[in-house]
Amino acid sequence: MSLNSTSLVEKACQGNQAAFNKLVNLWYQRVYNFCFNYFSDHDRAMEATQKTFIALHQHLPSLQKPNLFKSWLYRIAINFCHEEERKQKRRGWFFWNTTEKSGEGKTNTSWTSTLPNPEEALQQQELASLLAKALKSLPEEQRVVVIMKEYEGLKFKEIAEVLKMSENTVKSRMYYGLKALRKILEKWNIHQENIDYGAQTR
Amino acid sequence: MARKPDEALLMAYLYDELDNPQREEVAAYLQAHPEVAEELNRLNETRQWLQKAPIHTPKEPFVVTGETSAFTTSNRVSHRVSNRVKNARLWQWWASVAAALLVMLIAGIWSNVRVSWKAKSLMISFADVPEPVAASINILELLQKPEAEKYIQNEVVKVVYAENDSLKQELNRLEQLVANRQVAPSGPTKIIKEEVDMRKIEDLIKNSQKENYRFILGLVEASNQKQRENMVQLTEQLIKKIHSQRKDDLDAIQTAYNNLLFSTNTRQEETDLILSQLISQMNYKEHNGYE
Repeated sequence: MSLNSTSLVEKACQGNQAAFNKLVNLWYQRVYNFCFNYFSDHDRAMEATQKTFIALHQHLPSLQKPNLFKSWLYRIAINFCHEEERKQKRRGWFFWNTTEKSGEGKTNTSWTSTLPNPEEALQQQELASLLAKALKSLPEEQRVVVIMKEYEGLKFKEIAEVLKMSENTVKSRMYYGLKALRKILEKWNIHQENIDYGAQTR
Repeated sequence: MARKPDEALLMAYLYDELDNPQREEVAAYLQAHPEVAEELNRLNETRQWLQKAPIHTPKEPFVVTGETSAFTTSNRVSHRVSNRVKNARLWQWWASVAAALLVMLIAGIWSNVRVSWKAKSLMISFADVPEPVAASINILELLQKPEAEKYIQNEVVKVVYAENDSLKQELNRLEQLVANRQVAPSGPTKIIKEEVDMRKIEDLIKNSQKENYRFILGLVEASNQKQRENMVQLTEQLIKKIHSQRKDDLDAIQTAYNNLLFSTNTRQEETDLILSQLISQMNYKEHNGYE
C-alpha cells in the first residue's frame, strides 16, 4: 500500500478507525526515523512521535486536502521536534544529562542484528554514531532539510511545502548543509579511503 | 551556460530534479569547468556518507495513553515508553532538588547560619540568639512557677531595679513574697494573689521598661559623644603628622638641592680649569711651531 494513498487518508478523515490504524502503521516508522535523526535520542524521538500521532488523531478530520497529507504530517512532526528541543533547552540549565543519551538510541535500532559479523557491526555502529553527531552539529534549519531530503526522500518541492518556504531557499539550505557536513567529516578525518581500507584488510 | 550555476541549480542537478534541457546545460558547464564538477563530486560523496546511516526502527509498538488509546498499533498496549520517560524526568527532578538542598546546606554551614526551634517557631539567624530581656516577662506568671527565685536573683533585674528607689522597694517586696512561698508551700499561689496588686506589677514592668530604654539611650548618646571626641582627636593627630612629614620632606629636598648645586659648581670650576689648561697648551704649541 502506498504511503500516499489518498483514499486511505480520506477514509481516516471520515472517522474510519481501521483506515486510521493502517495509516498509523504505514507512517509510524518513518516519523520515528525522522524524529530520531533529528534528536539522535530514542526517548525524545518516541515522545515527539507519540505527540505527532496524537495530534494527527485529533486534527485529521479537519484536513481539507487529503493529497497534502504527507507534508501536513511532517509539519506536525517538525513542530513537535521544535517544541521538544525548546523544552530541552529550557531545562538544560537545571537538569544535566540528557542530550548525550544517544548511545541508548542506537541500541534500539535494528541495524546491529542484520550485520554479517561483529567487527563490521561495531564499525558501522561507530560510523552511525559519528554521522548522527555530525548531523546534530548542523544548524537546525539545515539539519531539517538534510534529514528530509536524505532520509525521508522528499522532493525539494515537498520540503518547501512542509517548511512553507521557497524551493530555492530549501535547495540553498541543502547545499550549505552538505558543505558543512563535508567540512565536519574532513575535520574528523573521515574519508572514503579509510573505510575502504578497513574493509579490504578484513 | 555562461555563468556558474547557483547553489539551487547545483542541488537540483545533484538530486536529479531538473528537466532535460537544464540538466544538459549544467552537465555541459561542469564538463567545461572541472573545479565546479569536483566540488559537486565532493558534495555527492557526503551524500553517500549520509546514506550509510542505518534506518532507525522503534522496538516498542506505538503506544498512546488515555482517551487516544483507540489507535494502538499492537495488541500489547503498554505504558512503558511514556512511563520510562516520565520516571527519568522524575528522577532528574528529585536529584536536582537534592543537589540544591545540599548546596544550600553547605552555604548555610559556610555562612554560619543557625536554625533552631524555640517557642513553637522556627528561628534562622547568623549568630546565637540572645535570651529575651527580663522586663518582658510576665511577673505574675513567673511568680507562680518554681523558677521565680531565678528571676528575683537575675543580675539584670537587680541592676535595673537598683536605679530607682520605688522599684527597689518593690523588688524587696517580691523577694519577701518568694521567701514566704518557700516557707509555706501549701497554697503559695493564694498568698501571692492576695499580696500582689496587679496594677502595681504592671506599673512596675512599664517603669522598668522605661528605665531600660532611658538607660540604653543614655549609653548610646555617651558612646556617640565619645566616638566623636575620638574622631576629632584622631583627625588633629593626623593633620599634625602630615604637617610634620611635609616639613621633613621639604627639608630633605632643600638639602639635596643644595648638594646638587654645590656639586655642579665644583664640576663647572674643574671643567673651566681643564679647558684653560688645554687652551694654554695649544697656544704654547702654536707659538713654538708644532703641528
